Amino acid sequence: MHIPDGYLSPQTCAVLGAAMVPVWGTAARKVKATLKARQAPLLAIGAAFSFTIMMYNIPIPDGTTAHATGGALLAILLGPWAAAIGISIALAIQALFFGDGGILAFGANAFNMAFILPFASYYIYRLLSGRTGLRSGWRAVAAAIAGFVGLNLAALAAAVEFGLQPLLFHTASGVPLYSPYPLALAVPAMALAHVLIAGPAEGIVTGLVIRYLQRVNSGLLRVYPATGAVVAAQATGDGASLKKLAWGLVILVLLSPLGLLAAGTAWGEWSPEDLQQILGFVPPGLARLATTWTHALFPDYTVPGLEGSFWAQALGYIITAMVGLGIIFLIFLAFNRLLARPGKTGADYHGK
Amino acid sequence: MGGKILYDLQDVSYAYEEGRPVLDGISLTIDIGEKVVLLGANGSGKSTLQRILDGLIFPQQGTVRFAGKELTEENLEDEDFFLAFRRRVGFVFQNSEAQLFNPSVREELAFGPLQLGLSAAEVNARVDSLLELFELEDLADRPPHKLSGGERKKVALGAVLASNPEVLILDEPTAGLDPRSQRWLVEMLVKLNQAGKTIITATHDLAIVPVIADRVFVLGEDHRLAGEGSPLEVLADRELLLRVNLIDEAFHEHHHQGYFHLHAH
Amino acid sequence: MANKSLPAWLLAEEYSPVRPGGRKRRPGFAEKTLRDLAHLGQEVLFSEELAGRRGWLQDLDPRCKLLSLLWLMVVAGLARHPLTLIVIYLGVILLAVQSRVPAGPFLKRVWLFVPLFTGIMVLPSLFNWVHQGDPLVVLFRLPAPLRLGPWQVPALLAITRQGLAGAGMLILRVGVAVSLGLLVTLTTRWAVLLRALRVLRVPRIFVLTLTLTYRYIFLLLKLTEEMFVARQSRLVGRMDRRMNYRFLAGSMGNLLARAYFLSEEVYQAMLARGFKGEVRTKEDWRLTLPDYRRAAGIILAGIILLGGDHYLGW
Repeated sequence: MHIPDGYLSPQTCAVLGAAMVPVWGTAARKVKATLKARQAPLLAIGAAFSFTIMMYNIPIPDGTTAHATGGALLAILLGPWAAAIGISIALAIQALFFGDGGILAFGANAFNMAFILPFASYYIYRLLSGRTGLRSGWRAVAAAIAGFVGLNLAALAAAVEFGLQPLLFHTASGVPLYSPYPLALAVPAMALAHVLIAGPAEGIVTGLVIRYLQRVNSGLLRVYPATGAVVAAQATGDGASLKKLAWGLVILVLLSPLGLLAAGTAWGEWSPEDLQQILGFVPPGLARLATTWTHALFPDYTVPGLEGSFWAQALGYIITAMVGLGIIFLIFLAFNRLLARPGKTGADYHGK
Repeated sequence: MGGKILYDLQDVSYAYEEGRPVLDGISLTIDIGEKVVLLGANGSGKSTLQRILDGLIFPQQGTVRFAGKELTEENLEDEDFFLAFRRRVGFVFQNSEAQLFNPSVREELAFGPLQLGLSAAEVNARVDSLLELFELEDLADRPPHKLSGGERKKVALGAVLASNPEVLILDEPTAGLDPRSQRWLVEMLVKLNQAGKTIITATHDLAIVPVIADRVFVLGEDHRLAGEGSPLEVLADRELLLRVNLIDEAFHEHHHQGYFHLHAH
Repeated sequence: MANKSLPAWLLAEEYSPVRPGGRKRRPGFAEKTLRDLAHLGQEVLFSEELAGRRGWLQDLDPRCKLLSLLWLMVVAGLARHPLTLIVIYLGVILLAVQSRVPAGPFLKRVWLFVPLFTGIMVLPSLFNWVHQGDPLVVLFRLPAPLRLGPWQVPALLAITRQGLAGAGMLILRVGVAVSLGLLVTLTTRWAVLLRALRVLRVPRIFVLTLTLTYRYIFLLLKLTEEMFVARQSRLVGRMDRRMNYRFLAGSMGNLLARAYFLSEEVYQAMLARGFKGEVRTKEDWRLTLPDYRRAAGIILAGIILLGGDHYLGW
């Protein structure tokens, strides 16, 4: 899933890289609060571990081998924030020194593998493992599922990035400038590869190692979330860092129309008619979906009454981005609620 | 000794990087049931030579024969050849931490016999007898990484012995062990040799050489064979030991005391 | 203490002779991993050796080099006309020659890899069934459009002009981008490149972590290699899948435990040497006139290329 340079437009890379900036900033602060001076060596070890795990060939049930990222494992063991930094660093080293994954595409790769993957895996794991004991067999299964689903979500993100390219970037005569496959093809193709090959590899690695550690070295399973005092520090730190994260996202939303300036075509023109023209053929199902999406949710991605002008499109872009982020926030809030209920330690410290 | 030839190396050279050989034109033979020591300073190529003897890497030049058959990458790609060879040769690595990957000592010892297709009862009997022989009963269910260095070395040796190989290759087996563990290990190797096993040890620990060697091959810092002979011959050849940088001028007085001490068990 | 006698099974045994049986062993995950590790080691040796030579790019200040080559990557990313990409690639070749990067490996690593992976990936997009366009080569014509469930397939199967042009652009662009990345890697030492990242406003803590990571990677790779080699040497029978998975779990768990232990040790060693969580690095690079000239040259070339690309349109 390491996207090389050339498959994504520089604009896409820039937007995804910008999206990672608040994540990295928040992660650095969070990790600093919990790990203090220990952070550098621990993160470096996490990154080196992630890099090394990516070198492993994992036998998968169909008889061939695949590579895992180890991202889900790192997220479960060190927490999603530390994992985000660790994987980012592993990706940076691969891109800069080994030509594995693009240098411009680093932001996109980090977004998929160092943000979506660890956060999705971590919360799925927490949700599934619930209040089961640290050594319960279910936890290993939960970890395997978390790895599998997390990786597939990351692949989905990559597929969407690919799939947007031909829509946004092509010449007047319809020559695609970057990855040529539209969403309708990119998503199923990526899904197939990752559901069958990379996903199982990630799941196998995550589940097996968690089970091994349960038997042999359960101390490592207690590194995150840290108990007592550290949780308190996190809880109090939350307010400030969340605010900054929010600001970062606001800036991002405001900047999002930049893509409009750079791209030849804008999302505003993205009607089923255009799809018909771009895709050559529109699967009826997709056409229905597109109609619902564009007309019912955001008519032509612009605000009603402001159609036509560039500014209208820009505004539409911003509103779309805000709604998207809002949905993501709601999902995270829901997760937080679900997770906060069992152990009330954090809330107690906060109240004090 | 002078029995049947087990290993026959002719003009073996190996280089990880072109132009920088780690082994240069090595020719030697090892007989069945012999105990030999590869002696040399750090970086002289002992470990590389052992990896060649274990068929893990293959020389760029020269030939290696085991029991009359040539050890080549191609031959070892053959399933029957590979399994028969692996079955007969066991390798105890210097870093025993890297060698142990099972969650408990018991499972570590069972790893080899299980692959041989022995029945569960036979595997258990083997593991139990090894635990007893190595005085590891109390540690049977502990994870290997929580053991001390000496215990870990015992488990690594036991894990290799569990599939009863004919040849034992050991890389710096006594490095980092306390005197008691060293002594235990050396005596075990002697006992295994008396039971008919061929023992090939790489070391720079001169004190243990007379006990665990019938014959000594000395590797020089130029990565060539600098000398060979009985332990007494080699250890008495001060000039040779100086030349290959195993001792310095100040060494003189110690080595006699050292090995006679150990010899008198 | 070692008076116990050896158990009977350990004493003597008839060993089956070593001889080929004619059945090939399929290289498994362990062989593949070991091969990958060896390959990685060679790459590192190769690039460290090249980075140590003297040459046009090697002599350029690493910060200037990073920024100017990054700029070229952006230009290559933005280019809309194949001619722009070809000109950039010629420039890349010129830089490589000036920096004494051996042409053989440099060309091979890009043009063996890129067409193979990118080429196969874009292959379907050549056809009008996947990506509509003006037919260039008609392969066959069905009597009527096909309906396959929700999909409708046009009657004509053809390679399109747009598909061909798009595939060519993608392969060219990926090739240029990979070459540029390779130039950075091959002409800059690790340690120097890491410090150069500071100009990209990468926070110190990230750069420090990167530096530490680089050190640890080789340690962990070494440990991994040892574990896999040790496993290979202990293969005395056929492994089933459960045993393979057990080995994988064990080796990764072991790696993790070792890594974690190592990080504690390193942390204590850093404490012992007075580290308080704040990183201070020595930055004593001074830009010289040739540095400015070379970087300005590359950046100017990029701007001209972008202008030309815009003029060519498409």
